[in-house]
Amino acid sequence: MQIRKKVAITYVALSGLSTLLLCVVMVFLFRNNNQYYFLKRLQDRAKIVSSIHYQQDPKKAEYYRNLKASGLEELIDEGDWVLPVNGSNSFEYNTELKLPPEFYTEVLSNGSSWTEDDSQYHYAQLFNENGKKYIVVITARDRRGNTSTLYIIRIMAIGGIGFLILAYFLGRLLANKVMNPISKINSEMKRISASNLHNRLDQPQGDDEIAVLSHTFNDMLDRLETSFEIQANFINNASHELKTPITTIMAETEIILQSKREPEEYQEALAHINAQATKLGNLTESLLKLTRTGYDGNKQVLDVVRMDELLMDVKSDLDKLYPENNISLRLEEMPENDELLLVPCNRPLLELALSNIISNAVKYSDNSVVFVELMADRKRLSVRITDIGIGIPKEDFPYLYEPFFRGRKASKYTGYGLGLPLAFKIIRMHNGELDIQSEQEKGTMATITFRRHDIKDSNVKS
Amino acid sequence: MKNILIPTVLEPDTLSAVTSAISYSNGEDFQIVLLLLNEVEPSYSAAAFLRNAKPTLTSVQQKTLEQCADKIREAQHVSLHVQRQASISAPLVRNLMQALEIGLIIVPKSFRESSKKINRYCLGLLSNCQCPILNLCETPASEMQKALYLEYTGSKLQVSDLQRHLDGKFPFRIVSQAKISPAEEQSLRQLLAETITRNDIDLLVETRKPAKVKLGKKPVSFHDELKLPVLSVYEAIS
Repeated sequence: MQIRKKVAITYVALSGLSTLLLCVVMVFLFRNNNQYYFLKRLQDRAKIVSSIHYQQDPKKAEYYRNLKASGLEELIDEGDWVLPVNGSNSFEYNTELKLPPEFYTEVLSNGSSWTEDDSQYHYAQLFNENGKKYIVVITARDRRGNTSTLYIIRIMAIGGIGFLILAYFLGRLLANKVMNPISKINSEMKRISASNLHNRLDQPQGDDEIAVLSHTFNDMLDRLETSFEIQANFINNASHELKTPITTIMAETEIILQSKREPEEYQEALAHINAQATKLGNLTESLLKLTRTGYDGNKQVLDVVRMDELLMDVKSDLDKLYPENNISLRLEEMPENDELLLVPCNRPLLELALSNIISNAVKYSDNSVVFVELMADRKRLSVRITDIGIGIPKEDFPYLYEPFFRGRKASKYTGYGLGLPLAFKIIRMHNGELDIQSEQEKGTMATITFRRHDIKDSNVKS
Repeated sequence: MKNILIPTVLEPDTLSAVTSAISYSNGEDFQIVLLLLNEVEPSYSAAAFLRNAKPTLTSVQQKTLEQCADKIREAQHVSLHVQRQASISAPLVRNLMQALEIGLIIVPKSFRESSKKINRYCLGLLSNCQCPILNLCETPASEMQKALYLEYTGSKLQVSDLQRHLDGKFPFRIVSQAKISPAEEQSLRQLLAETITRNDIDLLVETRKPAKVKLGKKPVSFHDELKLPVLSVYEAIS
């Protein structure tokens, strides 16, 4: 059954149940109220009958009789009896009255009692006048009370049915109102397939459940897209990224093998090679993990690194790869608290991303000066990489993060068009932002920003 | 430098607790307080209690105490204070911590595993104090340099805040961080073990929040298997 129908039916059932309950309570109270006032009238009559009975003066007795006959509203099938009480448990019984013995026992013990049988009421009260006790019994039929109760029940039954019909339409309206945003999300989700994973759901305003649902779907699509792309490009990425440490190892060995050297020099070279090989191992493992899990942040144990140290490591690696580079690491705007430089991250991957962006700056500016600035405060941590290279033409901007895309100007430099897309994805995985501003023939400025709140949650939402 | 409290049952591992306490000396004078707890036997009068309440130590305990005293005597700037308590309560612990100026609590494994009710209750009360607690494991604590931060779900302390909170008090640096949620403790175990080996981690850091002291069976903490000392830092409920 559709949720829409379920909501409507549940709404109708709940409203019907509560209305029925209300009707029952109202009928019950109405009936009780009727009964109470009818008994009051019988009680008045009993008192008058008692007054007539013990009155010695015939004129006064006549006056009371008149009062009873014309002063009070007439009752249907009205009758009255006076039964003198002889002893504590005996009285003069009247055979016209067909009342159970328990009724009289109750009258004698409590002073009054009443009983009802098919809207015929019997009210009895015990009176004590000049030491003589007698029971006054009044009977009458409450036909009007019965009729009005039936009338009320009829109104409520008709009203209830009308209300149920109204509730059905209101329920459908409510169900439509609740389900429409979900149907909308559903139809939007249907148009997203493996070929257009870059599409996203419209993010509604506010922070209600639907907005959270859309946000979660968009987050999931982010992860899926990253995972798909990384899996599709794993071999390319791996061969591209593994090339750098291998080139460093080869350069190191070539230099050391050129001539005979002192044992210390061999030791130093071997230590360098070992460090590069370790990095290679870590990188392979990280890339494999990335491919296997699509970076499932919840199952990651993150490294906590100082960004300045990471940048220095990247620079020292690039110094070996591009000995003529002109990278200037500027750490002037450092915070007083070193802790603000800490970033929980996957170290090999973030190092790879920074290395890719900085080496691009070095490569496309023909070894002219590249400024790497680090800024950190309580709210964010940013790395800005500025070069005065060839810049990026405006028409190339939309394709910057597409794998294998090579700009018109960039084609004369060696490369595969994989470094920047991978760096972008890695930064996005760490909930960072990569912003690239560039002007042709003037230079490029790439800014990586990690917001502090995002740094904390990088392993939750990535 | 504030003083260091070591609640103990005087098992041999108290010695390694004292050793790691001494390693925190950085040229300033401080005191190592050994806290010995004895349960009170029911007694019909105060005098009878005082007559009978002579806490006796076994020969092994006496030997451990002497070894601790010797070790502290050898070290500079450190003095020993043995605090015996026959009962314990929350205000008593609070006042004791204040009077003895305690800045760090080091809990040996033997005390943590003690089955005596008073020891377990004391441990519960201590964990509600704002003082950091270093829970030692079987192996003597080596020099602690690199730490792994176990961030539990619900914790609001960011790694940078934690590092700032600890800076100056402890020599280690947090090099890794793992988000722990109850559902994924098991699957994280292998990943944590890998990280510990790869990054040479010698200390775990976690945060704790004040909780009602319960004397029921203590649940086995998932990081007991990692066999590393755990520094537990108090995180106030915000």
